[in-house]
Amino acid sequence: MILGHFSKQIRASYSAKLIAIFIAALCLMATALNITSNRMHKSSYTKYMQSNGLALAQLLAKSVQLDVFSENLEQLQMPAASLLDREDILQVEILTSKGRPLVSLGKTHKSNQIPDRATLLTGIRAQAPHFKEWPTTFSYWWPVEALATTSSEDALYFDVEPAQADGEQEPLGYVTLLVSKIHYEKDIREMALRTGLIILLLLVLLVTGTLLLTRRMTLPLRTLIHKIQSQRTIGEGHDDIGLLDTTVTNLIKDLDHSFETITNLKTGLENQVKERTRQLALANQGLTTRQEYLEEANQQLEKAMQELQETEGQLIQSEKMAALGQVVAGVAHEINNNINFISGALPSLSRGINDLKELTRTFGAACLEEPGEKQAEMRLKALALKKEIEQDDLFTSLDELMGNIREGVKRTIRIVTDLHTFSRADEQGFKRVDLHSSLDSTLTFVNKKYLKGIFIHQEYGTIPLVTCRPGRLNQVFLNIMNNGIQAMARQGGTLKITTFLEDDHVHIRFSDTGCGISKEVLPKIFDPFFTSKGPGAGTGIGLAVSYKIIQEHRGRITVTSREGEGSIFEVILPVDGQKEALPPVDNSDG
Amino acid sequence: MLNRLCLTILILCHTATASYGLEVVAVKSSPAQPYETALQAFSKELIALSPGHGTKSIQPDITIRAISLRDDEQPAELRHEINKGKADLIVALGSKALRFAAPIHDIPIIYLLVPSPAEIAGPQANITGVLLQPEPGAQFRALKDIMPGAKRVGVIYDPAKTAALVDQAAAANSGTVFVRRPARSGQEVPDHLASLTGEIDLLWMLPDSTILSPQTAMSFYRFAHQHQIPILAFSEKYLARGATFAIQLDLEEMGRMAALLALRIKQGKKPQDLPPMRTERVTLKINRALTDKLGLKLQEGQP
Repeated sequence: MILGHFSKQIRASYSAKLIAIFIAALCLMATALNITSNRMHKSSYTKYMQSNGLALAQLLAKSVQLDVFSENLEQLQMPAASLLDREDILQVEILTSKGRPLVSLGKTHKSNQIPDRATLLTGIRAQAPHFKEWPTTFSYWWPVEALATTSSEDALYFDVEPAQADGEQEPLGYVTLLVSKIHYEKDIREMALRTGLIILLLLVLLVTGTLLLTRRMTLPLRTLIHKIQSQRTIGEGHDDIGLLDTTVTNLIKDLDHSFETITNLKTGLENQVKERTRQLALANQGLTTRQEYLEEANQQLEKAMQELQETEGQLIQSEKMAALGQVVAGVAHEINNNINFISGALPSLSRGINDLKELTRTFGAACLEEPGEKQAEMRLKALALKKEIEQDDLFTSLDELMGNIREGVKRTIRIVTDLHTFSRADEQGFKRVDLHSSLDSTLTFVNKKYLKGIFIHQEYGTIPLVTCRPGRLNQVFLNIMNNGIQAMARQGGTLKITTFLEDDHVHIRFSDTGCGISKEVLPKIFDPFFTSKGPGAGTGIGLAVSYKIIQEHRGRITVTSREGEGSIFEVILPVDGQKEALPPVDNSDG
Repeated sequence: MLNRLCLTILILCHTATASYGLEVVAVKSSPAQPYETALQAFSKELIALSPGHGTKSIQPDITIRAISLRDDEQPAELRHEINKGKADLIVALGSKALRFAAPIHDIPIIYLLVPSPAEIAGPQANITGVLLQPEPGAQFRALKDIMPGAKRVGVIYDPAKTAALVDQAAAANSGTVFVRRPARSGQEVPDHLASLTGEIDLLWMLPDSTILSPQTAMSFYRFAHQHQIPILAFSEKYLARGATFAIQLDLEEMGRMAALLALRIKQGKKPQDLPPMRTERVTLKINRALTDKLGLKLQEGQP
């Protein structure tokens, strides 16, 4: 049952076949190695036994040399008996050169296969090797040799003939040993057993290692086969390689089919691409025509835009000139008032100065005259003149006149200062400014012809210095003030200017009690060129410019108005107009 | 005038008789060192003893040609070569050399380092030489000087070879008892040795080729070791192998003696008139390790 299962597995797996062949080869090699090793061991051990036994025989032969020579049987017994003490030595014999036994000692042995003396002597006399292996024993023999007696008497005295001294030997007899093979065979068996066990252990290790290694190495192949088996019907190949072969063949077929399909699709696609390309070329041609048309239109638009920008610039310049006209008119009015003030005082001042000159001359002449009548006469004349001109009143009048002139000059200086503050013509950059000063100087230049019956109420709160472009802001403030004053021109009213700080933003609120702005107009008041004033009364870009300026300051401008009740314009500026930004303008009705 | 003439003749005669031109052929039994040592001593002494020619001469006109015998040489051819060279003297070093030179009768022969020259050459008129062994009596006298207690001396010998030696020793040492064991072969030695147990104070090893062989030498040593008996050997060669005492053979002295014989032969003496020389001085060599092991107490003044 198990064998059948293994047989089925081996048939189904190519790697299993390889492993089985490899293991079989290993087993064969192990068997061959075992046999070879045992033979080598046996050969080596036999050689060892041979050399060991021969060494024993040689030693025995040397030790009994003298006793064999003298045939001293008693002395010969001792070495032979001592050798027999060894368990494996079965027999020891010492023979004469003629083969006559001098000593023959032996043990009883189970085997009757001990070679007899005649056999041994036959071997010895035939000059056979000193060692012979018998079925159950080893036999060793060694000649008992003696140095040949020298024929030269000189050698008795001197070592004069080495060849004679050490060379020729003459046999005195032989020693033979019979050694049992029991221990030898036992040792051989044990060596074979040990070798077999080692080889078996190595075989087991090799087979186990091979199985593990093969299992690890063929893991990707098995995974691939499992995948194939899970996607295909099992049994398309007689083993896993057959299955792979079938799968690869099918894959190649599928691939060929796919390539064919791709080729067909490619051909169709190329045709479609050609058609589409042709259509796109036509469309592209139309688009090119349109693009040229659009480019032409764009150029016209750019030209119109440029013209518009130029017109806008001209209008802004007109607004600036109008504002400047108002300012100039205000300045001229104020300066004219002051000049009138000064020029009116000048005739009276001239008269008074002339009177003083006459009086001073008269008194001077009187003082220079020698005391006498003439001097008294001149003095009386001077006193009369003093009375005539009412010197004390003259002095009072001169002080008043000088005061008037001083006031006129002072006002002119203030106007000039305000004009300087208002215009800031040389300070177009951002700087920290006190907005209250800006508002005050701007008020100087509001349209004076509408100021009659209008009360300016200033309610300034505590605000910090604001980073701004003061000239531009003054333009905004003047525009809003003029609009408010104009709205109140007919019936009069109050223009209230309020400042306060809220959420790090400065609020400047302008409230008038004028006619107000209708709901329809209110959303358009910041549109360029929109005006509710009559022809020639306004350009329609004042508030639009103001809106743009406040945007530049990242601020807001709001308008609240009720028709017939007045309007509230509120400018909200960040303390640092260079950094912060506010939401867009919120125009709301009342 | 006559007197002057007679003086001149006398001077010329003297010069003629004193001419020392000498051709010597030294034949060595083998190239072994003992022969070479003796030959060197011979040559040196011969030159030293020979007067030179005139006051400025530093070397006499002596030629010594040395030959080492080899096994493959043909003795007859070599002898012919020697005769052809008209040698004045042959020095035979060793038994083999004497055996080679003995057939030459017309050239004087001096033997050297030959144990038994009589056995080789017998009484031959042109042969004389230096005996190898000191006189046996002198040997025992030297031994008695250091070991006076050695009264009984055991000796195993081949009567055919060394009986004379034993007799000479016995005659020269009346106070010493020589326990004799004659043997015909070396195989009898162990039994004879066993028979000497307890009978002797000293074992005398003779230069007897029948008795002494490498095997029997081992029997001697074993006996001496087992029974604590010292051995007196005839050559130093046995000292390191187990003998307790040995007669030192002074090879150079023997060489010098041979040179003296050669000089006399050249001076006109006949070899048969020159009896063989023998060293009178006997030097005993002692194996100190062995004497200590045997517990021997030697006399003061020992060599």
